[in-house]
Amino acid sequence: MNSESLSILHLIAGASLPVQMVMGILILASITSWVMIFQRVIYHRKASLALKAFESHFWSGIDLTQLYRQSNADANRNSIEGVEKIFRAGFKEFSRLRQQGSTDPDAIMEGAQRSMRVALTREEEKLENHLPFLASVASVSPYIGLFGTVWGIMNSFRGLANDHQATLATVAPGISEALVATAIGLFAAIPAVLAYNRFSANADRLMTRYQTFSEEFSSILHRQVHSNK
Amino acid sequence: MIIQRQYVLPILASVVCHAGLVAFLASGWDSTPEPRKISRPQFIEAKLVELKPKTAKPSSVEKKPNIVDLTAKKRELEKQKQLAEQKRKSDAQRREAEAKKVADAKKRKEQEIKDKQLREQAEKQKAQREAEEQKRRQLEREFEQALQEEEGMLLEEQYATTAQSYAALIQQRVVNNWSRPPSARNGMRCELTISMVPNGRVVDVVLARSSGNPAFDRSAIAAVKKVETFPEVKDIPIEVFERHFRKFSLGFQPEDLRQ
Repeated sequence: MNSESLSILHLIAGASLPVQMVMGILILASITSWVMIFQRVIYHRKASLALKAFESHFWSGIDLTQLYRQSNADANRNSIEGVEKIFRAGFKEFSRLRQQGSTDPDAIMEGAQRSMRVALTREEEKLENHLPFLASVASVSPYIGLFGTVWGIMNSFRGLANDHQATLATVAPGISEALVATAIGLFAAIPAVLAYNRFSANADRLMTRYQTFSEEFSSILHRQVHSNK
Repeated sequence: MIIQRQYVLPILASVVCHAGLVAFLASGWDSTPEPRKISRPQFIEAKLVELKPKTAKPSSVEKKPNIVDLTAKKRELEKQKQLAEQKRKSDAQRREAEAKKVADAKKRKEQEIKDKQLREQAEKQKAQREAEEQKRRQLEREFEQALQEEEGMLLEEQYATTAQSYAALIQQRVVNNWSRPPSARNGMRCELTISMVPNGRVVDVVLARSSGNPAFDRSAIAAVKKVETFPEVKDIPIEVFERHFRKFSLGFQPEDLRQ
């Protein structure tokens, strides 16, 4: 067995079909999970930047109607994200109810809060998109890799049984091949675990801030409703 | 469309990452494991038995210093010759000067005497030279003989190295067939003398030196008998075979065992 045939690509190419299938699944899972990771990184960064920008804008003392119009213009360009949507949903419902001539302030507030809750739920869904997939990859791919390894070692020992002169050199390539499957499984799982933990913590943090904002915003609306009476 | 655009960058980044990793593995990780030196315990030791007559060796040893002497002697001879020649020249000159000084009347007479003397001298010189020549020739012959002997020794050495490599093969084969008895201990050693024919068949195994443990001796003999034929022996040049393998000594000692 020369050294060249022990390179990792040769090992993959020389593995038996089930092991190769396992490796293929794992590589696919790894690629997909990295797509999700990059996508999440981009989305979360965008969301937290948008939150910061909107909050500073919101608390700068701008008139709410004007802000709503501005964000309407943004909404036409399909670029609003996160907290702004919550604001828009709440304010839209609020102004609509008031235009309809509803006089009951509690009803107006309830309607505005409900629509904000809906928007909040949608945002939460967006933030936590793909996280279940990452969790599955993180927990399952080591097992898949292990399955490939066990299968490969099983085969290589079965081959050993037929051999009369059993040496380490007859089993070592098979075991080495089989272990590649576990390596790929771990390779897929470790980034997925890290990413899952990081993104779920990030999503929680953003959700808390969204909730805080919506509470603050509803308190402003509440003040308006009750002062206008 | 929006979703697709949103995913273009991540997909690209992910695929590029994986492709980079694969490329790295393909090129950088081309595992070139350091050729580990496995030092196997040599528990069978092959030794070559020389069947050459022992008298050949001392003669060569004796003649070896001869070669050194030879050159020294030669040099000395040359020096002597030079000295003699110089002396002769100066003698002749002196004599000539004297002859000139002596009167011309006596010249002829003296010339005759001188001629005679010269002739005698020449004859003497000639005889001397011939003797020297003969001596030199004899020395040369001796030198050549020594040279030839040395060449023979070199050839012998070459044979020995060839024999050593074949001995290792034979040893390996015996090791593979040797099952040591449980009573084998470190420090035991037995030697066998194996007689072979040129096709590699073992015709006789004799215990040359016992280890003191009969089971151990028997296991060693059984190992050789089990091999029966060494196919490698067929490839051994016949001169090497005759010299080293017709009778062949194998030492058995289990060095890898615990005490």
